[in-house]
Amino acid sequence: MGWFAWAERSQAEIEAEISDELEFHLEQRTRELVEAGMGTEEARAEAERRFGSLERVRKDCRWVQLGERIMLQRIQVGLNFVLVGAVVGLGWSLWSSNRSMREQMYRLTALLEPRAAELAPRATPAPNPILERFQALKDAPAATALANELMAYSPEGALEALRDGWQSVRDPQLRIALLDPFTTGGGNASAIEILDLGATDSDAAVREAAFRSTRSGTRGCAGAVS
Amino acid sequence: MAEPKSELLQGTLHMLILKALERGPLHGYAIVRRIEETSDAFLRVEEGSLYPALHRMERKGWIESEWGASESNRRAKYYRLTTSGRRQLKEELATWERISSAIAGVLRAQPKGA
Repeated sequence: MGWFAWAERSQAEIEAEISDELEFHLEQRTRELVEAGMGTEEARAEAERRFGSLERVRKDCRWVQLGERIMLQRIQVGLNFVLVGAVVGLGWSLWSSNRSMREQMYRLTALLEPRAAELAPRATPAPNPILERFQALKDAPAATALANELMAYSPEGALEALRDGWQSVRDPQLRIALLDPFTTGGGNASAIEILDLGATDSDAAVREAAFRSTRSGTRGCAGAVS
Repeated sequence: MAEPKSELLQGTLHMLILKALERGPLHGYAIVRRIEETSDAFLRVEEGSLYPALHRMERKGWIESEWGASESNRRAKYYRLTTSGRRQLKEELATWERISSAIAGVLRAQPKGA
């Protein structure tokens, strides 16, 4: 920065010196012509005529003094343009190749997506035999039989299976029949939670049966309702 | 643009400037006047063209410059011969002598059979 400022100042100085030197010449010639009897303006015009093109001379002198520096500056400016051009070009080519890559990816994706759907293995829901059996219940004895079967599970297992299947049993009477073995047997540790299933049921009859069996302790509720 | 009375031969301007400076430092205008005076105003340098030539000669190291006060007490740039400039002047004068005597010889020669 310091050097640059120095070079700039020095260049301005050199140009000022050239102007001074040429102006001195014109002044001297004008003065001489005036002394010889010419009018001031006429003398100045004559001095300029004899001098030739002041601008061309100034330019020539400037070129002799500053030629190398001017060339260097031009080379620098040129190099800067080349550099900026290269950066812009690189950026553009990167951007465009990136874009075309993305477009190709989109096209490929669009092409492959339908095929992928065809090729993908169909997700088959894991079979849940207990759930199916809940769904297949037809009458109260079958429901009671299924509940008796669940009694053989661990208390937690029985509760879980009942919770899973509860909503799939449409008939409230069948849901009451499902509760029956748990409330009459009295040996299941999850009996309270199982009864809670009935107590929070959407059907009033089921809730009633659940509450009744809670109050009556071990007495069957299926029979009481029916 | 000023029409010189007689166009300076290419390359002779340097020699004339070196010759003008032989007797001591001068500013540009004085160099023009010296050339005019010593050539009886026959060789008139196109005045502006003197300056690029002076600057070029300074770069070559034949002359050196220094700012000083003119006769009218105005700041002026004075040029002075360097040792290398003196040597250059000697060489150019010798070349000039050779060329001019060769040309003179050609001009003096009588056509055969005349």
